[in-house]
Amino acid sequence: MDSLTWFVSIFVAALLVALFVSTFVPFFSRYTAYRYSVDIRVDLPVRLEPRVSARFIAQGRGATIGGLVFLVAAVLAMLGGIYVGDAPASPLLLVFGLVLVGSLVGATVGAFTGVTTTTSDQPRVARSRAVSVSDYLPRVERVAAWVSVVAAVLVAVALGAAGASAAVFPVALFAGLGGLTLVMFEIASNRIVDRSQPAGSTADLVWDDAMRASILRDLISGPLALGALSLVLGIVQLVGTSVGLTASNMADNYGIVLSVLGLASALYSRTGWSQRYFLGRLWPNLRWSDTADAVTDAA
Amino acid sequence: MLTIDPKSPVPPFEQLRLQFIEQVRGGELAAGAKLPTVRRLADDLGLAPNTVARCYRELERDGFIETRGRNGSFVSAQGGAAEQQAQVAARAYADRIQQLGVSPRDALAWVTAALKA
Repeated sequence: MDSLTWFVSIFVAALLVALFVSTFVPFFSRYTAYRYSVDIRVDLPVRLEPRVSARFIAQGRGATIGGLVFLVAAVLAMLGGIYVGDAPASPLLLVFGLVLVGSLVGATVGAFTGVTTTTSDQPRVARSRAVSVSDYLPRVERVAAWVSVVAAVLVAVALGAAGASAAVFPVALFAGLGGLTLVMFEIASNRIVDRSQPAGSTADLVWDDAMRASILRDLISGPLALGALSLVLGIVQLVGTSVGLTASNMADNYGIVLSVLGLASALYSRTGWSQRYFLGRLWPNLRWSDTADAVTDAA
Repeated sequence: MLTIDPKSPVPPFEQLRLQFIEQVRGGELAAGAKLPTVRRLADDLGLAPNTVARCYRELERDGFIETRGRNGSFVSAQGGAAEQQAQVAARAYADRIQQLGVSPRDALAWVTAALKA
């Protein structure tokens, strides 16, 4: 392991520890819950805030613990002499890929913890029609994840066939991890959507839907990011090899393409359309204040 | 939306059945809409699965819903033959609109324009 990989690993570990510690700060979890409320434009009643915060905390802790465990596993594997290919950035990519997968695994586990209960003497509210994953997640995101992962696998195979052995490892690694997280998404998403939703009011149900939509978007981001990264690395490598670029030129190209990709995904995630998608499907007539408990919120 | 009030003098089974009928008649539950599974709805509402299963059986007997084997229970088209066909066509149109990602407002505007043409 080179010094840069050590530095990045320690930095990522420190970041994950800091994020883990932040989940114990009440202000931070409350801020996350209300921030999400603003993003999706649905009022978060005071009585529901602890429940929503607790779910964000569970997911946050799961994601950070998962990321840390997989980071340690990546470092130990490299110290143990695992082959990471001949490309200069391979160890870093291995660390990045495994931390992302670990975070998703942890967040998934976190999403399944905690049980919503209601008292037996209060009215119960339920939806009269069945729901599916496509009610919570835009179809385009799911299709994009599948397309990017399948295309990444094809590019990895093409690279292997072209004899570009130095580049095959990171591309195949990301394609493989993308496939793994995609399978994980398909299994976990159906289980999340199939879970029962005990609710005592419309607001309970709206916020349970909101949390489901949030975790499903987090889960689909894994295969989407890993597949896209694998594609970028593979295509730059394929094109670079065919036009005879040097390793440093290719590294520059990686940087440019990855920056554009990161910027585009950041802009997309901030548009809010994807965040509020579930409202259009499940609560088309919901207004901002419909979920508010006027009396308790004003107190 | 279904609401079950445990303090109501009306039995939960009857509360459930009446709300389903009201929603089917009012168009809130369109023809072809899939209902939750018996177990899922029982868990959501805190009822015994037998209560929900009995409700579904009676709704099916009265022609409000139909069970398609392992695919689940679906809302049946209501009214006369022409109305039933129109509801099935509306369901197919709505499904296609969702597949295409077109907004419901645009879809309604096109239908309205087509009907007026």
